[in-house]
Amino acid sequence: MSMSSRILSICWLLVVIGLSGGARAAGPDGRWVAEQIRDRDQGRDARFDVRMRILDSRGGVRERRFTLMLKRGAKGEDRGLIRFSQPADIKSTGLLIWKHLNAEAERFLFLPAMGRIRRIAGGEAQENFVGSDFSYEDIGGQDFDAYTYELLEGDGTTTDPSGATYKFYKLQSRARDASAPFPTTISYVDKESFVVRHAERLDRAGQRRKTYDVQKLAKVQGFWTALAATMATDRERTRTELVIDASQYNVGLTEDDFSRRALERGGS
Amino acid sequence: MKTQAALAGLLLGLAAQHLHAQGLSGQVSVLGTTFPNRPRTPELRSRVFAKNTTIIGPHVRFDVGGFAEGLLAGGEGADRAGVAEFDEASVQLTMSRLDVLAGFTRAVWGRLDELQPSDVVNPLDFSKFFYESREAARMPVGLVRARLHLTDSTTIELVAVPRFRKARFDRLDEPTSPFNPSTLPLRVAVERPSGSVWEQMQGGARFSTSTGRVDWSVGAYHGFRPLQAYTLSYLASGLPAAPIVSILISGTYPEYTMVSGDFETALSRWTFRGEAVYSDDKAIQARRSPVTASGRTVQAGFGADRSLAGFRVLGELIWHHAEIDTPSLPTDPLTGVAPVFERRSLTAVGIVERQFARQTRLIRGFGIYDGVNKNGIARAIAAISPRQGFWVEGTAVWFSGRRAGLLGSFIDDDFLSVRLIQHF
Repeated sequence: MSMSSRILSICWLLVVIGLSGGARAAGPDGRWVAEQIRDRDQGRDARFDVRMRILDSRGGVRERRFTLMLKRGAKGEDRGLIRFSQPADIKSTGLLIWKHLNAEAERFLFLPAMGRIRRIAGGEAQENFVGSDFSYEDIGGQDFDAYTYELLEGDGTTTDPSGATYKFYKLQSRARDASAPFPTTISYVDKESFVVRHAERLDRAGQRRKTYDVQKLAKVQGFWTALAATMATDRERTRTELVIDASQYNVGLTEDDFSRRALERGGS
Repeated sequence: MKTQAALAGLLLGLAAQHLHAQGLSGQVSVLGTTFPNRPRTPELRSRVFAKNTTIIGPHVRFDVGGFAEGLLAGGEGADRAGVAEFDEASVQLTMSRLDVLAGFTRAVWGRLDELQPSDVVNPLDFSKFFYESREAARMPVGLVRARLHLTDSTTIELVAVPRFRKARFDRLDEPTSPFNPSTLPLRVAVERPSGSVWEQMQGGARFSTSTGRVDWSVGAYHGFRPLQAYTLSYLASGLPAAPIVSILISGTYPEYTMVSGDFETALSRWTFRGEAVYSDDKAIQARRSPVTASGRTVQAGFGADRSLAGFRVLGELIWHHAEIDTPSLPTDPLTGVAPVFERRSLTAVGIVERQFARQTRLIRGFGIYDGVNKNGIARAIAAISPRQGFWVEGTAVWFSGRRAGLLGSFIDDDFLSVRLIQHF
């Protein structure tokens, strides 16, 4: 899975930090911090009921609701399934993602009106996810090695939107694909939880285009989970609020729950 | 008519009272259309569609849906019509390795967009194809489908369609529809597939699997073409003063057997799809002539799409080749010369689409060009969603080129339309 995707997806996604390993004798570097984000304990699997509010520049609000299921696989073979329940025009649409350690993820889309599953390309990872300020990569992730990592600051302290203080690593992730719309991400990684609590995405000119913040971070069943987060697009003055209404870890999900058959079966 | 009215009332009642009931979904739409080259214009079509899904435990699922649609057409040949039909009534049983779908429903074959040579299970409503999309045009049929899942990616599928359903040019007053290309001024006797259940039975099998990141299928299907083929015959008196005693035009839904193959794969930013079909047809219609002959056809299509600067861009090429059985080739009874069959065609499909403003705006261009008949269709759509679930969609459709082939039948059917859609 990719850094930036971990950085963003995982963070809102929630989760825990059961970090692995200790600090290196020579001190951490960017890749090490990225690996901690990637490898932290998120349970064997998880299920989240997610509510997404998309606010436009004039104050208009649209809402999306979906269920997100995740399963950790051996050697980075993670699985993810997103199923929309609202609004009506995308109800039952499903997106299935199979991640691979050293290869591009496979993605499958089920649109009920189309009546069949389509294999889709992953090249649009940084495009908006269902009209929100989040990208597909934020939600579904990319390849870890699609980015290079640099530790910009190893001992920072700041406050979150609620005013609470936390120590952070300041991490820069650079996409190897020079054509990516947002090739650089600056992330503030909570040293305790290895959750990204604040991030800024920069465009190719180095200008900040998107800002991510975790509003509510808590432990659920012992796993750190970002229960509320926002992604704002500066130039368009839009914002997407993401709230986890229900979360459950170690549900007992199986490979069959992440099969193409399951993707189709859940549609109506 | 009472049944249709009752169903329409039920649907409207459901739509009005239970919009948020769990499992119920659908849409209400109003479509206004003007045909610059047609006397019967403008048209107003209103439609309500509702579907309810009931899931009983992990193994059983019921889908019931229907629609009611009304037409008001002005101008010369003013018309009004209404229809209310079940659009879905099916049960799906899911077991560990097997699922069975039975009822009045759809089964999709093929991988290409819009023109899918192997998508033969459900006939099309061509008005929906032009107004909306292939997905909307696919009409349900009574079928039983069993799928055996050997692995997640390997499936054997069996489909049986015991009762034939023909394609429609329009579900609303078809004889006067602008999308009905029939130019025959006479009433024609059309013979539907008949005989025992087994003689009418259509069906096939499909094997689907994945090799690496390539999903592919092979299949076979036996059935009846959903559009009529016409033949003309006459009785000769032998008298020079009145040589023809009677003329008979008859239509049939030709029997055929096909084998097919298709694939789909995604590489980086690209998705590639392809389909190929070989079919043995009992009757192939000659071009602009009431003559048929048996023959074999091959259709092969290849498509690619990707995202480019925020646009989804898709291109497809479909090649068609027909081999007509010359020994059985009759002469045209009207002209006395050998009929002309469409032996080759090359059709190109292009789609450019972009959503923006947080997916509240959509622009889409769609075109089909028939390189042999030198005609085509271009369609431009712009849509805006001023509030969640509500869309306003404007469409312009332009047919151009020679009056030959299927597309050539619609040369006078350019139209402009506006549609309001409320999803629930």
